[in-house]
Amino acid sequence: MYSEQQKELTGKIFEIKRFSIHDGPGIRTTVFLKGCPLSCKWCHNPEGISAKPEIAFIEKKCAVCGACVDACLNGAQQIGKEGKRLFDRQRCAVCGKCADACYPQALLLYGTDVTADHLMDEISADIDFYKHSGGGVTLSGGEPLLQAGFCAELLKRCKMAGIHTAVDTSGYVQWDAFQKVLDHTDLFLYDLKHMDSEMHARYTGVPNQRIHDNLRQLGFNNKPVEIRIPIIPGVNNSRENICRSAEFLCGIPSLTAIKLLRYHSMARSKFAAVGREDTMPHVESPTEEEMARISDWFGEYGLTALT
Amino acid sequence: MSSLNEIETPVWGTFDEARKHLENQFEETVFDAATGLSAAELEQAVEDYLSKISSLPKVIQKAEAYRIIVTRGQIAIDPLDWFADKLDHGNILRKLCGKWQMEVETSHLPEETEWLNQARKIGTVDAVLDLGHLTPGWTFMFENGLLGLLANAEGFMNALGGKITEEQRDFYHALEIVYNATIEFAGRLSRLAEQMVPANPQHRQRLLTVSRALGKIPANPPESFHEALQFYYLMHQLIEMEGENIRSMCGFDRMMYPYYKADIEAGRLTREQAKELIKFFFTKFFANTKGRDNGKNFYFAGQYPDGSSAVNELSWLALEVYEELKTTDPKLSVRFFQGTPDDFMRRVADIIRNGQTSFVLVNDEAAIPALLKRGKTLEEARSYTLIGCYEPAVEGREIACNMSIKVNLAKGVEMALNNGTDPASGVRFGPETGDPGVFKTFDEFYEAYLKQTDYQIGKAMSCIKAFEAYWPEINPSPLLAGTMIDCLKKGKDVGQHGPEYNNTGCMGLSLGNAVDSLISVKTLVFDEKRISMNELAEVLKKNYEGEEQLRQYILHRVPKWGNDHPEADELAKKVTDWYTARVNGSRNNRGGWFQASMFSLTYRWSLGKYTGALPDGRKAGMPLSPGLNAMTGMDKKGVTALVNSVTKLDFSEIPNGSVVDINLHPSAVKGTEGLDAFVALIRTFFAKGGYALQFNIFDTEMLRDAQRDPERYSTLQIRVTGWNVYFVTLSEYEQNQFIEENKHVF
Repeated sequence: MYSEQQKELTGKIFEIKRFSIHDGPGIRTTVFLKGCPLSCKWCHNPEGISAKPEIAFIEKKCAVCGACVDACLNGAQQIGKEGKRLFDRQRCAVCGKCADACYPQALLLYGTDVTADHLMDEISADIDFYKHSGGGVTLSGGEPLLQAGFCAELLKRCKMAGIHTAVDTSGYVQWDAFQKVLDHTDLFLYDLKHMDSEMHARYTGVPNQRIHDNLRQLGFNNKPVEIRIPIIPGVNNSRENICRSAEFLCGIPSLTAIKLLRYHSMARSKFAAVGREDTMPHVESPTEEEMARISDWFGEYGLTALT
Repeated sequence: MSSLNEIETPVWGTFDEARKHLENQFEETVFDAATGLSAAELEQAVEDYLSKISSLPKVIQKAEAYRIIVTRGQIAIDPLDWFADKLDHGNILRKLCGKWQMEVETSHLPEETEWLNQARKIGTVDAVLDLGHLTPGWTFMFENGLLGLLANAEGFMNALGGKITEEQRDFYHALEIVYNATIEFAGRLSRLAEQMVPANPQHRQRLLTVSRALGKIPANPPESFHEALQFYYLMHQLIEMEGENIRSMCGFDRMMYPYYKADIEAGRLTREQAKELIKFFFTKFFANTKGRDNGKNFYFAGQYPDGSSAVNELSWLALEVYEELKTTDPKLSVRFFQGTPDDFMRRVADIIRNGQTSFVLVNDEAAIPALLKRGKTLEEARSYTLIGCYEPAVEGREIACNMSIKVNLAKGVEMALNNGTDPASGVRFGPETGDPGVFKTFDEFYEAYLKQTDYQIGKAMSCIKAFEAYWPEINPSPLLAGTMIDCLKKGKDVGQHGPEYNNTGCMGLSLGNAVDSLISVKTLVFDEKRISMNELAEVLKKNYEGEEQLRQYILHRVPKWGNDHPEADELAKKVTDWYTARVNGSRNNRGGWFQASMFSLTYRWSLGKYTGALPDGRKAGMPLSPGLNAMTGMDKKGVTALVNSVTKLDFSEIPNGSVVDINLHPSAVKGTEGLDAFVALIRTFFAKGGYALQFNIFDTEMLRDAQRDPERYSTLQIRVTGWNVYFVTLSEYEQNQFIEENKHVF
């Protein structure tokens, strides 16, 4: 078993993305941490929802070579009739042996344990890019603050190395978790999904009270916060919801920006890959005109919302 | 001096209407029989005359042929055009050059010719006597006019006094012939323009401006912006006709600015009128190529010999024109250094990200040290010009023959695996470096690889050196040579060591495949002992047939160049250092040196076609890796890792240029933050000492290609509002949707 400190030095992540340019200022490296208390129907990283490791299967990359069938000790990977690849998740122990054997990367293990020091090696590699772009590191997910102790350790190291830090959060964690990272975080990227708590719960699985409380707390603590609002037609794009959002945000003194993100159903195939029921709403992306109109509504409150 | 303000309004604002016509100007020209001999008659006249003087030196023959063509050929003036340049020359001089080259090949150098042809088919090297990568002495020409050049020539000739050789006397004589003929040619155009006025009263002012300009230049130096541009294009066209490809139009902004400034300050020309003249001028370059290939290159910005920034008002104006034209030709190279204004880089990046990717960005901070190491002075190095695509050279003092030899660095692996025999053809084409099956260590294999590569480089160099000795017999170039002060001083043609610097380019391509293949051999055969050397050679001969598992293992589990991987990067540096030392330390046969470059152009296709399956997973006949990049699809860690890898190389030892291709989707560079990131990416590459960058902003066609061939595009990321995805992992429906949605960006 890990000691308490070792535990905080090890985190579970599912991806690292370099040259990330929309997750905070400049050129960044984004570390995606596994596990999220929300299950937004439009989630664009469904492989990050479960806190446990998962095997993803991207069928179109599969060469039907049978290496995974040989590697799997539980018979979860099979080749059926007419060479059809079958993946029986019931039998899968998520040991990752199949992914290890799959060279074309049709099978992937999402959720590996990494140490803060190991991550720092990869993060530091792009330090010149951060320097010239005003970029840095963003912890995203999933919900990174579910692993707040690990985040704190990692962010602390980044700050020691002079790297700008951002945490991309849903806000749905205990304030304790924020407190752990507060001193080491330069910027919070904070999602605001719906002002109506019932609607919020219907689409994300949780009410919004705690999210709002934590956002106010960040304001009290004068921590820079960039608000991100995914605009999902028919869910949160009503004038009423936007105006309530704007009113609420007027009370956050440390706001640095509001960004409106156009909903897109582009992550649909990711749901299938991890064997999750596809919950993405079947609605069109909002038009540029609609995005501009919503931005104007924020303008009525003296706020600037970027599209 | 002509004053353009005298001109009545209708002659301005005509570009858009005339554009289509101007783009076809070289195909649609109608020549009037009254102006001279037809191309066929001209060819006959040249042939007849040359048969009478066949005992004279080639340089005189060439000069006389040139004289006949420009003084007697049919000419034409387009009343819609601000510049006159049409001559029905029938490519006679180029054919003559081809004929003389053939004579040398068959009677003097049959063995060299045979070896070069074979090498091209086996895929080890592609080498030619490169007459086509050069730049005239533009500044010297503009400052002196042709009469000034002749006066210079005369002065230098007299200075030689009694020591002058027969050869030098012939050279000076040829100069006199071609320059006087050129002045006469301009006079013919000038008179024709004037004669056309009565029939074209609506174009009167334009025709008279053209006529006046050509009555003065190129004999005399230009004084107005219009005259300078007319001079510029006319001499470009004539030097090309003489038999050379001008691959550098030099620094547009720095050379043209004095004329522009004088006109603007004197109130002779408005900014808008200058823009229109540039449009007419640039469109000639597009009309030459129609965007097909080998566009002409101008460079912008950079620094003056004193180290100050060369960005001026004309730099900005030309970019504005280029953007409005939305053209692919001419190609623009932009030089940057610490003193280049930030907003200028931003402006260039903005045009590129909007899809006009016909730009090369070059870092002075990497180019200048490389030029200094090759013995150029600091002032020369600071005002280097770019030839072709990325090849730096000293304007007016250097003939760099940048594209003489192209070495396939990956082919040596195949040759080493087969003990010097090309497996596809069965031809023994390299030295016996031993049965690789008995090699005990990777170092032994690496040694064999170097020996194979060294052999091909050595053979190619000796062939090219043999050809270089015959340059004066193949392509005497008095018109070009006269623009270079050192040629005038020495009384020697460009092919006779006339210029101060006489170098020969030797390009290394497929670094990615070479490094990845060497690492595969090391990993599979020696480290993991997954397969024996002989088994590996067999697998490759069968083009991985039945060995897809192994190929997938190699592709995805063995380290690859371009991913910031210490072992791969170290090996790449080792191979590159070896290659550059091998090349840069070799003398050519024109009194200069071979100079290493690292890029690939279309040779990654032509030589790739004859390169068998490689240990890095690349199948037989497939294209080789581009430029200094990772093999296509193997830059798995993305662009920052690629930059980190590439900038570990020593660019000061790559004096003939190199390039990295950066592929980005329009969605990744969208908006203010996209532009910020794009600029920061360029800046970081330069700050880390990288030399040159060019960009692909992925378009619909490439995305469609990615759908058909996902393996090649496995690393292509696209940005979907707030997040990135790998394009190939999307379902077909999503891909189609994305392509459809982003169509407006392209």
